[in-house]
Amino acid sequence: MKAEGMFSDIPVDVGVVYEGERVRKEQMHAEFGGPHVADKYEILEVRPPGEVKDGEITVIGPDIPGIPEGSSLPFGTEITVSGEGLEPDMAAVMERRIHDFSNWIEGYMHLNQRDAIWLRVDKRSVKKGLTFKHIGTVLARLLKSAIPLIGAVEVTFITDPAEVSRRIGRARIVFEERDARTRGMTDEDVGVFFGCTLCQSFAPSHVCVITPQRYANCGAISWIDGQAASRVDPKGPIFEIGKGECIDAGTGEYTGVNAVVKEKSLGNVERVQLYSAFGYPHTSCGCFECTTFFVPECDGLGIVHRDYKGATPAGLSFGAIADSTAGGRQVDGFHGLSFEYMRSPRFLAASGGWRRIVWLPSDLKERMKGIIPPELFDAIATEKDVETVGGLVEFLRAHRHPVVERMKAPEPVAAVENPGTEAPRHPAGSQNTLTIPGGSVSLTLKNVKIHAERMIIRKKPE
Amino acid sequence: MKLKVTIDELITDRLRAKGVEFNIGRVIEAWEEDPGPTPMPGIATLRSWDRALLTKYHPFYLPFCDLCCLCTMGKCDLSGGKRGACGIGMAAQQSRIVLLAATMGAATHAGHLRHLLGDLVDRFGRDQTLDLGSSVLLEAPHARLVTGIKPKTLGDLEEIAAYCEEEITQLLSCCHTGQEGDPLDLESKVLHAGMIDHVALEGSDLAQISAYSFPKGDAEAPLVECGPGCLAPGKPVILVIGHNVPPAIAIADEMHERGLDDKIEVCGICCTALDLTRYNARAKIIGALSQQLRFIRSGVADVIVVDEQCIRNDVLQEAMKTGAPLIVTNAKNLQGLPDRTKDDPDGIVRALAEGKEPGAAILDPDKAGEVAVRVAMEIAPIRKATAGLPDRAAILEAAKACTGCFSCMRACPNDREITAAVTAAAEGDLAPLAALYDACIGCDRCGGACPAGLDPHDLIAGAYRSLFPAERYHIRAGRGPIQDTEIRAVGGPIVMGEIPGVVATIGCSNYPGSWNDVGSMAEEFLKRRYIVVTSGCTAISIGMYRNEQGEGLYDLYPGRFDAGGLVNVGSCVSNAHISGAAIKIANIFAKRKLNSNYEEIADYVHHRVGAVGIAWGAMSQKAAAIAAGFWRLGIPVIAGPHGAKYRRMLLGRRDREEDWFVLDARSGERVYAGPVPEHLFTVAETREEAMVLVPKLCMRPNDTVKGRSIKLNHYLDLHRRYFGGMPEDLPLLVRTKSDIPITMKDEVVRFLAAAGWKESDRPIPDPTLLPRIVKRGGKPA
Amino acid sequence: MKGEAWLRAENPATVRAALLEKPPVAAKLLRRAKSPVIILGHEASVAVLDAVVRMARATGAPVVATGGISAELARKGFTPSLVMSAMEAGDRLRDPSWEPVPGRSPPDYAFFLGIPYSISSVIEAGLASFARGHLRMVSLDRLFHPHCDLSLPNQTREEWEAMLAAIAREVEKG
Repeated sequence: MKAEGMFSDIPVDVGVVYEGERVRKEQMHAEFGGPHVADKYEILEVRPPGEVKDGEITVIGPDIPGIPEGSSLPFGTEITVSGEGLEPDMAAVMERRIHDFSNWIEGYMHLNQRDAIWLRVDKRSVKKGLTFKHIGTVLARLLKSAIPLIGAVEVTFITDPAEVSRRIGRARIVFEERDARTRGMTDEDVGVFFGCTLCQSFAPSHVCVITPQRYANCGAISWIDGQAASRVDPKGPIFEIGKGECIDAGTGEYTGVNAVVKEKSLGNVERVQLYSAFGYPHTSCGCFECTTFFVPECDGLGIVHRDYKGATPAGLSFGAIADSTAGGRQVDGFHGLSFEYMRSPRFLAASGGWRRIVWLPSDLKERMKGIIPPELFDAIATEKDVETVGGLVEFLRAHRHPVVERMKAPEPVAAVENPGTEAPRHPAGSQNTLTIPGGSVSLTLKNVKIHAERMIIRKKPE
Repeated sequence: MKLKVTIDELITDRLRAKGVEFNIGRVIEAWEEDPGPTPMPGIATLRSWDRALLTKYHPFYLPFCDLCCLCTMGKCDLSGGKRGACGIGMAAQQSRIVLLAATMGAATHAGHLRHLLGDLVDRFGRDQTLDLGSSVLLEAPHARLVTGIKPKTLGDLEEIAAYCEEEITQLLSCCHTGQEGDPLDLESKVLHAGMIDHVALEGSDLAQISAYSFPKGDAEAPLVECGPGCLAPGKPVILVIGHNVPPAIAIADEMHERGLDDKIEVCGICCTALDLTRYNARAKIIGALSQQLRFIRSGVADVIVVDEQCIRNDVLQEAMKTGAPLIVTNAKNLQGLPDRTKDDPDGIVRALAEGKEPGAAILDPDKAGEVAVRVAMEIAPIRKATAGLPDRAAILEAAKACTGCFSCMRACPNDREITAAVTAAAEGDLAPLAALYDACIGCDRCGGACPAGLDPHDLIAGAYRSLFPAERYHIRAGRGPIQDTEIRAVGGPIVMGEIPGVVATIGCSNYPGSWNDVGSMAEEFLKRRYIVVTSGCTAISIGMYRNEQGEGLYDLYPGRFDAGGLVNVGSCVSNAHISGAAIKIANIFAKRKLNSNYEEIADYVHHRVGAVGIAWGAMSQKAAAIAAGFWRLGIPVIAGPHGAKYRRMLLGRRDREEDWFVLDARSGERVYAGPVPEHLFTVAETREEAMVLVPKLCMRPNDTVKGRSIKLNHYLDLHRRYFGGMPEDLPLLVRTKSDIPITMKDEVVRFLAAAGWKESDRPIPDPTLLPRIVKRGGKPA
Repeated sequence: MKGEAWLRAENPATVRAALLEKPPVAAKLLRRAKSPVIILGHEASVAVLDAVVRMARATGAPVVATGGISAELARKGFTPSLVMSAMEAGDRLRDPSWEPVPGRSPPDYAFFLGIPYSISSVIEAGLASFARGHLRMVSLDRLFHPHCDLSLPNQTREEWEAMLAAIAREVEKG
């Protein structure tokens, strides 16, 4: 059905209803990018005001009506934006919106990003008259509507194969520069961190602290994303945190972070050490991608991710481990985190970093190849190597894992409470119980009938 | 478990006791969580929570009957403000009937649980462990929440069943003359019945999943065949109908043991069919409840085996017309047949196969299974149906008798154009009759009403019969619970609003129009990336829908509990997994304690989990109980037009600002949170009206900006499509400018400006209705 | 059959709607009502919509559009006063202080038509008990509605459309 209002001049409808729409091969008029085409990319860049011709949509090469049915073409999308308050760092965040916005166009399917894009346009939409000019107009309007800082948008589509291959190199350089900058950025390089309370909607005492070297637990928000989000919506759930004084650079404790976390968690959490799994670890929400678990027998940490269905050597599944830390709590050794944080040079730095990791699911270990220090790679066990804690300890000894040294120490380094088996706060039936008085009193009872409505048996914590 | 210890004499240095007897009413094994405030709540324990809901959602009474005829002082006319001989007024009477219905429903499920446990304990033992697989650690959210029991074995479920039974007895007693007379207190008891119902549902499914190894939260449970066209011609056919699956499973086992897997077609109608396919993916589902009479009358079945619930009461007479023996297997539904449970199977088989007896009651599932299989093999080659659906010639001939008196239409609950269709048939055109097929609920009231002795029901089914072979569909076998990891994975997207809601299309097949309506509704929300959950007859009807491209939805959409997933949890009793998923979100995602903590969890679910039920064809008292279980958790339910006959709605008034305040748990302040969700129970007049209601009823006070914006986007889009223009309540639903969907920004801003809308300057609250939830430092105002 | 519930088993307790068979009488009710409101459901045909729009324009009675009929009305260039479900409309009518159009007095007469029988019959039964002090109900539906105070008889679609057109003409005469 044709949209009224904002897109009345576009021949197809635009709305979130089309987000899940797939254009299947039989329905496809043409395909751009994708696995069968080498050259494809999309890029959004911030330019100084004056360098962007607002509303200008250019198509280099044939537009949709001129493309024969069944074609599969190289493709490029270049968007430039300008506006007061926009910074080059925000480009990547805005670029990712192209995916959503494209999918909102009826009969226009968009997958992936950067130089992996894959698009299809539906025959029916082509029949209605959809062109790249229209698509560009929709993208420009939506970008402006979603991000009020944007003053001007210019969109260029490239369908001419020669032109795509001529331009793609520059785009790749920009992507590489962006990645290098993100990877190279340290907490010391920046004056502020970002906090996120999106999950408070469900877990009211959790606050995520996002720094250049610590991604949000959900894996969806980097420091740069946080910066962009907080500027775009200053009243929103992602906000700036002044670092304040650095209390301890090693553990990653800052006065500013402590103050904000205390305020936003309503006093539930008073201190946070960003890079420690013990003492005052970062809290865990409910949507973290992975969680650590502590193995006291070897004083090491295991990591398990959400999609791992089996049991860990500790006998617990991801769910059981996650349960012991979720909900905005600080639990020693049990620590929700993102995949991306595992790539950070400060990953659990205060607790030994990778040298403390003793177990990973095999697919996760494979994924972290190149990140895990090579000398440790073989010393970290997976479910294919060990099934029990005993087996794990043996494996670690056999592979000379660094924790073996610590295991020799007479006292465990960290005293850790076993999670999930909190001591009872009050013994069952402590009220209304009959206490036999002490001293020299003796009691004689006859024909006693004692009726207890319930008896609660509670296992003692192991 | 109970404990009794007797000590004749007890002597210690300080105590001498004689004839000591310790009696312990209940021995409870504690689990990780301390018990919350309301273990095993009684009928008035959660009254204050119910009142909190009922001051927002007011009962609107719809007397389906103005009279009360429950005692011998009556009949009493309660209309127009009159009171009955006992003093009851119309409002209380309507609530009382709702309570009666919900209690019947809960009793039916609790009875089902007790019966199932009886069979399973006999077969597997009381110590049989409950196991939902490694992905479902939180096995019984309802039992943990309500009873404080974390069940580990079938035996533990007996204790849970006993609790349900006691509550149901108390609830039923409230319906007696001269008991509860306050409408809101009666409503509170309705909600209690609903809560108990879900505990019973959960216990039933937990028991059968564990004992029979049904799929355990498996998103890729097999696709099974569905529709009358899926039966291979020429094989003996055993038809099972009902809800309590052990006899049907015994049939499948018997077939297997005798090497007859490929020689007999075992098929079913309603929930027994759904549950049988969870056990054996070769079994086939004929259709929903509305297919019952027409399929029996088609004469295809050689043996009919029924257990309990929703079985036509004339099943024996109908079976006799086709020459198919009827085996009843459940003491709740004996149909007047002799009890042959203890008799030798050879004798029963002979009596049934030779037609000496029309049927038998066999209350041992295994024996019933054996007899059914043997009879099917013997009778199939020789059975002669004395009746069947009429063929073309018979229809043309019969239709001539129609006098056009409209009695059939006046009897039709859906007021279908039957008279015109019969008249057309008399003139040689069967198409109008055939076109009524999928809108006919198979009640056959038309047949009873016709003064000329016609049976329009059969004429419709007969006119459609040539299309039966094309009625072949797929349905995903019921997967049971939602995995803990799925809950964790969708927690984030639900919070962020990337998943705009969970839509549960459930219930019976008393549809007001074509059964395809439920399929098209499901498709609309699947396309929009909602999570669509289904069960029971609705799950079957969704399977029998084909979209514009001729594709079935189960083939097209994955079974994951995720955006755009179509999740068939299973039969009626599996509905507990849907409400259970909402409870799990509170526990797994947000770590709210479950143990005996109903109010807090319901408060959480009500304010945060954007879920809504659609019971488009709800018919039964069980459906009333299931709906009430959702209501007590604060989850809204939309019923189809016939749902108005449930006698009362629970409606919010968006125009009354004072109704929509919540406490902000951060500060204790009372703040306006907007009319979300607007209703707890309502009916929609049309499919379109239901579809516009869904995104609105998925809104919650704690929606993030992104979440509200996406929900509004769907609401505005559906409203524009089906109602035209902008909804007048939009200003109440947009809190800040950031809530406005970006694809509609210009027109929404214009509309809001014209309506005098002002942006809220308050942050989104941490909403609650419970003062005790307010955090340290904050004081409830 | 004219003055019996269409659905055989649907009957009120002791008081049954008076039969409204003459268009001028129906028109008079609409015109004389102090504050009439029309509740219009989705079963209204195009011809019925025409008649309702004429009645509404001639009397100024607010129209509450239910079940998606607002989309059809929009196609006719008519904007209903309210778009809500029949249940919501019924619930509001129970409230003696409800103003369908802000500033206008609460309805004293409600005219129902086009709402599915299974819904409208129970709403009317509810209002007969719970709004009896402030509201009179008139059914302009195709089928006889016994719980109303007055109701058109059971009719064919053609008869119904002609009847409503006749009522609209009478209303317009003033």
